[in-house]
Amino acid sequence: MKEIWDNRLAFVLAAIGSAIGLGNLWRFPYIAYRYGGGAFLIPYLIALFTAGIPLLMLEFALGHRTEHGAPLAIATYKKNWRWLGWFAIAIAFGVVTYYTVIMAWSFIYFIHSFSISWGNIPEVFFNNLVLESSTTPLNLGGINGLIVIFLILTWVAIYYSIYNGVKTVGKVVYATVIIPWLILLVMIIRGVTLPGALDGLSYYLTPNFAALKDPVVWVNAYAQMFFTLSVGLGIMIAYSSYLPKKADIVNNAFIIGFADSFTSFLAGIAVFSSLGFLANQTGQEVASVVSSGPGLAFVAYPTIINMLPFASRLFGALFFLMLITLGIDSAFSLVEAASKAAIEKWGKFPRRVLNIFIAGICIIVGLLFTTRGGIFWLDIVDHYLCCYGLVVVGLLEAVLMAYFLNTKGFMDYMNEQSEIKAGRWWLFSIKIIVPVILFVALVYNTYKELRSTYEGYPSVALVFGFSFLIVLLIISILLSKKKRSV
Amino acid sequence: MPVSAWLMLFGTLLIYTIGFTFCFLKIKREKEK
Repeated sequence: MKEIWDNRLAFVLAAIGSAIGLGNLWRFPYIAYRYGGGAFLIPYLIALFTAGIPLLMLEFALGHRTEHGAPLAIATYKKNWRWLGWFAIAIAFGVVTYYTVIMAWSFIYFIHSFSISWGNIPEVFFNNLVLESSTTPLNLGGINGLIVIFLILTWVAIYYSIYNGVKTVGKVVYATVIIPWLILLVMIIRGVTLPGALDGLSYYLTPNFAALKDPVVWVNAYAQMFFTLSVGLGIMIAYSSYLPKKADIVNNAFIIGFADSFTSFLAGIAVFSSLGFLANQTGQEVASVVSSGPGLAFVAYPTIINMLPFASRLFGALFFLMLITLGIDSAFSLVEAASKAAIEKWGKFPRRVLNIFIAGICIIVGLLFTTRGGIFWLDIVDHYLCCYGLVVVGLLEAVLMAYFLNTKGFMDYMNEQSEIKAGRWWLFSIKIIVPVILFVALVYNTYKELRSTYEGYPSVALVFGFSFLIVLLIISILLSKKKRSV
Repeated sequence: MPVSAWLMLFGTLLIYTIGFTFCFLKIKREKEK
């Protein structure tokens, strides 16, 4: 019997949970600040309607119509493109190997937050005591046992979150979506009531309309929209394959797109009001305390927590609980996408055995990111998987749908059962806007890559990082070529 | 904070409010049909 979601809300929350992740908190606010402040919201909202929501609809339609995971869903229409479905899964697999390591750091910090163990210099604590980081990716310097323990714990949490497939996922997401939203609300209220908050918000929201003339700002707005919605990873195809026959596609895509991008916007308010407070307390300009990525979560935020006038331990614990709950549903959605594809290919093995197998391989690969040079490898692999792998999958998915399949047929299929009807705007987005923008993003990323070495890392490390992506591509092709393959 | 920043803040909040309201009204109308 076909597995289906308990109800519509469970599906919507699961898709929102997958889309909302650490990037909403530590990437969007920084990108918005860097590319035009408040003015960035204009290309970002345009990207939501012309690329984000149309791509979500595309993946939902593909999954719902075929009732399969990415490889088999694509192969249903074009057998020769099956590798693309496997490539999406392979990238999801690659991403989850390091995403879970960040989750492990978050668990460690959650425990430390009860005693504020990071002391007065959180940067030293993060690099020297938690990561025991080396200074270059070429010095791996052994595995960090504590991170490995928490990595395994993270995988145990993921394993039980997808234990019975969407039956379990549909229940877990009520907690993993609603808890971070509530904490974010608390963080906003705490943030905006701190001295200096408005100075921080001013950096985030004051529009620099001149920036909109710069094509790089538009490319970044579309790229951010593309990364944040978890498209191109096979997740939304897998999740929508569990929808009942009569289920809405278009309105769900709108709700999920709105919820995800709105969360990013709110996260910006929480982050910049706190950064304004940090600047105020240290007598610096907001511009000099702005950070993103792990630097924001594990260095800047602990510094801010230290300076809070009261209940700093409580806010510290809440912040890291928010990180954990934000990340865990994105992580298990990546595994669920791979699990669905694995079940369809090796159906003779039970789901739980396949999940343990996936977790085992991910932990082994993830050990690279638990080494002393792990944080650098995490950055390098993330760079190649997201800037190239994900963009290529999104681009080819749109090209496949727009020029090799009956696009109009898919639109009619969506409209048959949706509360909002897709129209010419969807066709225009999928046929023109999405392929053009993703192609431009790919060319732009390659141009930047050739002009200067990414973050000044040694060439050997970058070649290895790129090889990681190529290995995933080769594995995808092999999986799709094998006889009797799905 | 300059007026333009406040306008971006409330403008964005308004756009999302309209967006969510539109989606939820569509659900309600379909259910009533």
